[in-house]
Amino acid sequence: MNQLSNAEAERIVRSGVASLQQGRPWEAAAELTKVTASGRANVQIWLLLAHALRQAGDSEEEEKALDALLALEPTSVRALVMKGDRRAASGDPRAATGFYKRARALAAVAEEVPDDLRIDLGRIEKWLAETEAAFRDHLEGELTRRGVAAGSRSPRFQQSLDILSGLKRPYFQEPSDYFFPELPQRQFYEREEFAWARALEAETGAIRDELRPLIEERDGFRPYLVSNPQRPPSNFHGLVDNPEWSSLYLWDRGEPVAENVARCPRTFAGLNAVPLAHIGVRAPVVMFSWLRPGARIPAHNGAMNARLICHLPLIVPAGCGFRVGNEVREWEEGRLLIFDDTIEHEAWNDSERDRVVLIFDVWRPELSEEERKGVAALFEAIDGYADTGAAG
Amino acid sequence: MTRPREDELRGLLARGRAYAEAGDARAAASFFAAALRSAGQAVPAPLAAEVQEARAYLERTKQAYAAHLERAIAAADAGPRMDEAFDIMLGRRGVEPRRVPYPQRPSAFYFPGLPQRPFYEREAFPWAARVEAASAAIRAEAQALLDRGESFAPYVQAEKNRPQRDFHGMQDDPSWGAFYLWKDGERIAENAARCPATMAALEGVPLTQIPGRTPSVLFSLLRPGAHIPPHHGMLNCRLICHLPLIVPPGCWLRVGGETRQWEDGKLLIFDDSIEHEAKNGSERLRLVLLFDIWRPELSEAERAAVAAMFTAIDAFAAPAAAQRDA
Repeated sequence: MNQLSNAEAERIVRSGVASLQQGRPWEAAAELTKVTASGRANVQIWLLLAHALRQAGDSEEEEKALDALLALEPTSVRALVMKGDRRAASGDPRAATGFYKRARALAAVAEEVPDDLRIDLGRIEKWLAETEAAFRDHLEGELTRRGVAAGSRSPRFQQSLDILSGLKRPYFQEPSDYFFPELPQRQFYEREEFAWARALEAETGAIRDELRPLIEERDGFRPYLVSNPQRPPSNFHGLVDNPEWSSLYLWDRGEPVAENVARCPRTFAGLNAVPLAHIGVRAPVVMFSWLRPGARIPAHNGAMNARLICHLPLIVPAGCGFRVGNEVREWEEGRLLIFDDTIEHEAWNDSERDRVVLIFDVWRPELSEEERKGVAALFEAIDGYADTGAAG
Repeated sequence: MTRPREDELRGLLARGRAYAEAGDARAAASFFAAALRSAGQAVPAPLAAEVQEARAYLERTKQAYAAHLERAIAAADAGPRMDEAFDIMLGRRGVEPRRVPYPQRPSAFYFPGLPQRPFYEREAFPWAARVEAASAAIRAEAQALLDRGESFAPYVQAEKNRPQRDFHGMQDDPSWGAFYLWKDGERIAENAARCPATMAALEGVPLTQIPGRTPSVLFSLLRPGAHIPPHHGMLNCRLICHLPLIVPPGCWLRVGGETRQWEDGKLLIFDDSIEHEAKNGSERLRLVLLFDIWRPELSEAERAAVAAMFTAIDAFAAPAAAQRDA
């Protein structure tokens, strides 16, 4: 390592800068290298050297200078951009992506970004977008070539690809009342997974026949959300006490509603073979859910993840939709939709006609008999809790 | 606080008190809780005493409620998941009670729809007993490496041509050392040859096979006092297995909300995409055999698809470079 006085080092750097400005980058590089070789270069001098080497066309030495610079200061946005350039030019887009993304992230939180750097950041933004698109194409092509074509993938593997490429994001259970741990985070379950599903679907016509007169009379329906004077007021997006979203109950507060059951014997009987969740006064809830034209149920999360919610679509005009987590499905008359309502979900009827589905809740198949008993006991205890003498 | 908000607070407190006197603790608690939310940090002086009473009422109610539920649940005896659910509900796990307490956050690839389980139990894996039965022979091979002063390279090493991202100061730190039999999907022939009993014990184990990435099989050494800070692994489509070989007292592994201790010869199997950390709080070294297996929930087709995907990712080369002067 050469000994170099401060004065000499400063003189060499000035001379190097002059050479660079006068269009002699190779001379600048040779001079600046004297300082870096002495072990006395700071971040600015390394950066000058990297620029000189880039202009001189010496990619290999430029990258070495950048590596040295980044070892000194890993957060240098300029050096990260230049290092990314070198990797991209060397046919290493994954490494380039790493450096560019780091540069972008640091610039996003920087107090000030100089104009010339802003131009560089715009350039890498475009490169990242093109590269991501190329990456998706590449991935699709390669997967197909390896026998994993789009149609043959398991839905959750397809979803993993969408999450990987940033098209979707994962959603998790967020029940408002009660969280049961360690369960699969699944938005939709498939009707084929439930032994009882086919027989119930076969009853769709009969159930719809029982529904029609109830709709005509309207009397049995009431707003799905009703206010409780014994609780502080809250209004869920204006839907409380609003008939836009109404329901008629066959089971409510965990018990059959005799007068409605009497009018819907086939519907009630159709549910005999279904493993309805029995949880004190909380479940089962079985109802016809009526969504008026134009009504929207904004995104929300259900109360507990120990059950799944089932929809048997009965009257479904075109223009209705239903989202759970990152997946949108449409109701089809007579085909069950089964989902985890503790994952954020929303529904809409953008048609000009009514939409009606039969809604009921079943135990999650992952819960053992003992666990179901445990959950039921817990909620009986919760709802049986009145005044234990704590009131002062 | 503006006048209308003070009036609102006064109203909520009054209704809470009315329900408390009428013996409806649930209604009272809901109004008192709403009052506390309404008051926030800025409690108006004239209402300070009432707000304090509301807070005390809620605390008493919460305790009575927990005791009441405790009695009901004890009778049900529904197993560990139920106990965990109950603890979460009462806020005993120190986390937001209505979310996945420690969700999977793999740094490289997320496979959706899987259970969020920190630990899996060894009894559920048919190959586990055979590996455990080989503990003594595996330990002897590891001990021979230690006795010969074999170098255990730092587990966390700087990756060439990636932005520097020091892993909480563990980079190049010899207090977490590794001796690899497989590394990033490749068998290290020289090292494997020195540990034949270990290699034999792993036959039949469903090691994660992703070319260029997994499996890694290594003796993982944690020196006295070493602490691996909380972090997330890269993938959630595998599980990490530890076969504990040398475990002094005072060592622990936390995964999500659960902390376990290594026990000689008993496998610990966990999801490393859930936040986890480890510590050797003893004055001796800790050694485990570490390897990764496919998650049992993934079908054969899904395993093949994940492997094909990573092969495709690693084969991704440059698109036309859109550069200024490259």
